[in-house]
Amino acid sequence: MRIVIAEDQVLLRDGIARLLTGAGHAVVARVGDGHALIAEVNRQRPELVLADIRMPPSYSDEGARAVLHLRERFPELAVVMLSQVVEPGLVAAVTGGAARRFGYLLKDRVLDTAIFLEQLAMVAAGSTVIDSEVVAECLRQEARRLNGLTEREVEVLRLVAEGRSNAGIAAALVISRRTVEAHLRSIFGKLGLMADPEDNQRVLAVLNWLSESR
Amino acid sequence: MGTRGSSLPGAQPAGPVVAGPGLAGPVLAGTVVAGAGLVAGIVALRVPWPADLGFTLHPAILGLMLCAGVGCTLLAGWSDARWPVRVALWVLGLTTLAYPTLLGLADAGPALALAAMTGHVLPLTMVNLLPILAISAVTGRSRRRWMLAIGVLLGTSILTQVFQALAVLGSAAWLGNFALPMIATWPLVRGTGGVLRRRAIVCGLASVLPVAIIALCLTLGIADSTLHLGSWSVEALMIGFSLAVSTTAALVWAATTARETWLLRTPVVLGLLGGVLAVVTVIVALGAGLALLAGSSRAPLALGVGIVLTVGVGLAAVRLHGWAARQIDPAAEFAAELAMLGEVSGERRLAVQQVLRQLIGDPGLAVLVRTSDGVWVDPAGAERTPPAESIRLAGPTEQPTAVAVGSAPESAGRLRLLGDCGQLLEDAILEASVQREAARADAAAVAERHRLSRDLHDGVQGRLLGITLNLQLSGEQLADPTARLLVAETVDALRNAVEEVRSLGDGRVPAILVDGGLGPALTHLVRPLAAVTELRLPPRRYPPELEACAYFVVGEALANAVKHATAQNIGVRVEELAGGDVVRVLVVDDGVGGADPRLGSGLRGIAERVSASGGLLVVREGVPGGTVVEATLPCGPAPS
Repeated sequence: MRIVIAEDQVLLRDGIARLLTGAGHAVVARVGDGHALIAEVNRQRPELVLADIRMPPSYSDEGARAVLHLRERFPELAVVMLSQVVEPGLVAAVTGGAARRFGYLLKDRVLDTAIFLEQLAMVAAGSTVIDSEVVAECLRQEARRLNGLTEREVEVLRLVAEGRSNAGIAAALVISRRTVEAHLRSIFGKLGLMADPEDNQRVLAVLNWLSESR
Repeated sequence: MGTRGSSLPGAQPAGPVVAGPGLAGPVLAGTVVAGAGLVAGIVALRVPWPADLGFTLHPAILGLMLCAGVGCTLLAGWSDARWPVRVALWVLGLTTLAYPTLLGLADAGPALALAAMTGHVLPLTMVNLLPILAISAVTGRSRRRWMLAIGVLLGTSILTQVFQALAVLGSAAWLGNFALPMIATWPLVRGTGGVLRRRAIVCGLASVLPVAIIALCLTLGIADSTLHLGSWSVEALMIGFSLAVSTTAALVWAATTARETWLLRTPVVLGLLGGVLAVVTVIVALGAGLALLAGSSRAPLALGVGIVLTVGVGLAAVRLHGWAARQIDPAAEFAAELAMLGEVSGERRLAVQQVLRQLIGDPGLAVLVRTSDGVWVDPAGAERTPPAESIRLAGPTEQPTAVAVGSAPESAGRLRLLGDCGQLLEDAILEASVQREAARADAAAVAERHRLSRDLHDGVQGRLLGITLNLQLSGEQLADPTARLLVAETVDALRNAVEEVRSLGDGRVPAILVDGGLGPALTHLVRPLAAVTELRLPPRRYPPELEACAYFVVGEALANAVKHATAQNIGVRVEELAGGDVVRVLVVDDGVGGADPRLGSGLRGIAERVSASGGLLVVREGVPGGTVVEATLPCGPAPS
């Protein structure tokens, strides 16, 4: 897989590049800011972009803005955003109505190398992956609005928001796929979500619902 | 003595200095003229009482009239009002001063006899004109038409005296002159505020009090003639005249002088108003009773009617007085309402706003206060620029310190009535400044923390992460199993460090701990853990550092018990020891045991945290098995 890495911390950037190269991917460009990221994506047309949210010069959301810019022009480009801290509001802002081929992970996850590589592959294949910390933070902030859900339903919702498939949820909770589907219907009914529980876009629906109050 | 008496009118134009050079001149003139008038009057007293007048006056009454004249003249000299008021005061003083002398000298010739018979006309006309002149001076609004009306009625009254048949009309016109000042002054009281309002009300009182006094004395005169008590109806009238003239002069002088006089104090104004109302009550009741007595001569009936009327009119007067009290001094009511709220430290501006909303009857009213750094804030502390139509509540006109912004069109007028509430709002304004200062310090602390956390995240944390990742990748390529293990342990330690840096930078103590304390926070923490079978928590709150420390101890101990010890039953206890001086945190599990703070970096971190807060952490084997994590934390200030 052809990958562009945008990360201003050289040590970390090189580490990630080493990890990816070791796993058989081609790191076609390594950049340190948003402008360079857009330029390199233009030139290299990678399949996946791995971008830090905060980069120079202002260290606020250059990465996020560059990614937004790119996703509008290259809808098929898979993007995984890396963040040092949990910023739940940022997900909805960056996905901007399309959560396919999108990932949002804490930087610490790169240390769990096997899982990290798997998550990159999932995003490149079209899935959505949201860091469980981010989802947990979203759910914490929304605790009151989730009062109507049972504990099990909240768990299922969290896994949906993380981008798991029905099969993945069933495996994680050790329940049957039928039970997962029943839970999903109940959740979507209670929250008033219009998305089809079977659709991949349900992740977006859940994330948008979670970010509504902000 | 004729020369003295006739010399008085001559002194009149010399007295009032229209464009006077300071006050010393007029004061001196007033004193000299008053002294001269007094001497003239006393000399006139010694002249035998004229036979043609048809009534006699006791020398004491004449003395009272003389005193009234002296008083008015002195006030005229002392006045610093605008010239129309001063001229009128002078005319009043001089004519009043001359009146008893003229009466005593009525025998001296037909001209003096006429002057004696009409001596009351000029001073009483001044009594009518002065309140109107005064309120014009106070409010700056012209009332010329009303003064003209008084002149016309006076002319009518004098003209009709020529035709005996029209005498009733003349009397009506003369009485009408006493009603006009009231109609002319009171409407102008509306729309004034603060001290100006009290001055305007004093002008209004100056239009009512003389009428009330004269009416009372008239009634007493009628009582005298009805009840045949003697023959002092004319004397009662003259007492009324003297009192009315001096009251008018005093009130007008107080209302128009630039000096702050006790006559303008709220209790005095309210007392005068109460006096007027009492006099009106007495007049109505007495008048009605006397009228009945004169008609039917049935004393019990007259007494009954008098009592009923006294009670009825008296109650109405009391209600009117209460209403007037609020009208005269809305700020006093504001103060009373605020005082009723009691101590509202920390919420003073909100209290002020709440009370004002009720007083003004405007639920959308807002009170804005200027803080010491020149920024306007609302009671919630939010910055807000006062709009142009806001009404000043405190501070100088050009640079107010507190304003009110009404949401209804009639609020502005009502707010203006309050005048300057500086003293009432002093605390609230100070509080706003203090709170803003505190908020600024808070904001600075938050900004600093934010900067620190960004430095940590974007600097230290990223670099640590890079090192860890590189070390981890390098370790995987090592052939020597011992070296690999060593590297893996180092990577673990580094990961913990990364984790710690993050939580440090976030500075995040769970919101539930900050808001609810240990009880709710720990309950929330253990909820997903089925293994926690015992949970004993204190109902009370502790200092934030202690709560945070205890929370992290329990968190780490639980993580240890679940992850490494595979415990089935975990007990969590937080309890007070040694009479509340020490809090013990106890986490007991029945797992495999073997936990040691020297090995796990998590427990080590907690041990450091506990010792930093002056406590002790003990991790030991449980009996019969498992692990016991025990932290004792000092509660309250550490012993020095």
